[in-house]
Amino acid sequence: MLKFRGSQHFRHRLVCATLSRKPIRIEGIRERDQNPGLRDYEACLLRLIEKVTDGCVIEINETGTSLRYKPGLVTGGAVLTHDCGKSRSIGYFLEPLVCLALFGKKPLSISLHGITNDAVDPGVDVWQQVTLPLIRQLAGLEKDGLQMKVYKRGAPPGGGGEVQLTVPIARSLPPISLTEEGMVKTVRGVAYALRVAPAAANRMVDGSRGVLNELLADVRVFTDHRSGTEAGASPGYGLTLVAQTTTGRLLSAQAVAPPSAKGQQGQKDVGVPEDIGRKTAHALFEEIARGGICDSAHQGLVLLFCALGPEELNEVRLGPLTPHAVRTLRHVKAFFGVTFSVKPQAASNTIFLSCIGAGVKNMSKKVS
Amino acid sequence: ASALFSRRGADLQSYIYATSALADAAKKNGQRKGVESESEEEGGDLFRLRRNDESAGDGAAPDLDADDALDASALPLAELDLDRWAEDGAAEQLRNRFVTGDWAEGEARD
Repeated sequence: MLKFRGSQHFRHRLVCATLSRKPIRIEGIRERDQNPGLRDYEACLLRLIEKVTDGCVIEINETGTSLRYKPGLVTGGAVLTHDCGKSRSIGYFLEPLVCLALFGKKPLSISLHGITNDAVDPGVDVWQQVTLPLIRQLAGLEKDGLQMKVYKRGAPPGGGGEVQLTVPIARSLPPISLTEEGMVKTVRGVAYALRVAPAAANRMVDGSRGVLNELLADVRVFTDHRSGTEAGASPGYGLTLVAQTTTGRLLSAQAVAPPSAKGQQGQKDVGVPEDIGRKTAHALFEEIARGGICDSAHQGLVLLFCALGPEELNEVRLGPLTPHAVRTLRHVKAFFGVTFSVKPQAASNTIFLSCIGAGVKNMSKKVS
Repeated sequence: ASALFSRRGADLQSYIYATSALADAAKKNGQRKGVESESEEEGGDLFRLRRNDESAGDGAAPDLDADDALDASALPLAELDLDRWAEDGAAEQLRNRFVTGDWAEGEARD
């Protein structure tokens, strides 16, 4: 039984517990908060894990400040649906879900409902263009296995989006060696506008182009304007930009217009679409300046896959570590006993991290 | 605490692994923030109002080592220094990271 305190790194704790088959106890979850205990999105994540696993035991005390989790086996399965609620976006749930489903008994096919794009978690555009290709590479999957389709978008606070996710199963992970950053050769992006004028998307594109074209001509941003039921319940717009390098690495940045309280009227306060475009382009510059083979949002995921990888040398190169990545390093040490060797390179301000993986295998997949 | 720390050099590894994720180890080390001594309550009122801003509220900067830190993989845009890219000529610093720049300079990093 591994014991933890607080609500930090909740998703990785559940994923690591399930994959290492170690029961955990988390105490003191927001016990000093005015609103103590688990949040509704965390309870929602636990329900989702119950859906895709078999035999797990979850016990929560009355106040919700203490949780005991005894992992079961990941089953996967088809024709599942899950309502992700309106507190966190679907991106919050995707990360633990995909990590677990890869080690399932059957391929997973699930329909997720909720918010598709918000300012806190990676949106569905980041997932489609960066995260899924990255996981395909890290897990050595075929192109058609791991897929996500966005049927409806949903902006906060109303949500109303719908995505369909299919995850194949992996037997074990291949060794990882990603150390070459390459140079940025193209920038692609998606600008979405929901329940607002279609011009908002074009104006965001113009704003980002004004910044990016100074360095690169090959910038193509697609616009995705939706209305009716496909646009979800709330108005909103945002932009995702993805830089691809000569070595095939992908760096993403996203910015979302904050939800306006009174519909159209509040929008003047939150900045015009051009500002969102420029902000996203500046965020992309920041990600490129930080360096490494992935952007800041994917550091934790890459490190987790290194730790789960085979008992060989797994090596990656990252930019300055985010708090989330540092917590990931501490947790994989606690669960799998995997300690990374950290070698900063002063000249480029990047960090080489290498480890001997834990060799986690999918026990339920039959040898064909 | 700064969210971006790469320039620490050799002590980065010890910084990462000095704090354990496990609750037991943290108690032993006594390093974990948020685990404060309860002795001050003696003699005072039975209930004390906890100051709101101690937890990671809206205004306060999120604490990296807080037990209840927000579980999000992405850095909030507000934590990044984006304004520096708005200055004239700032983008030129990145010239050699793009294919439009000097390839020899760019490949020297690898």
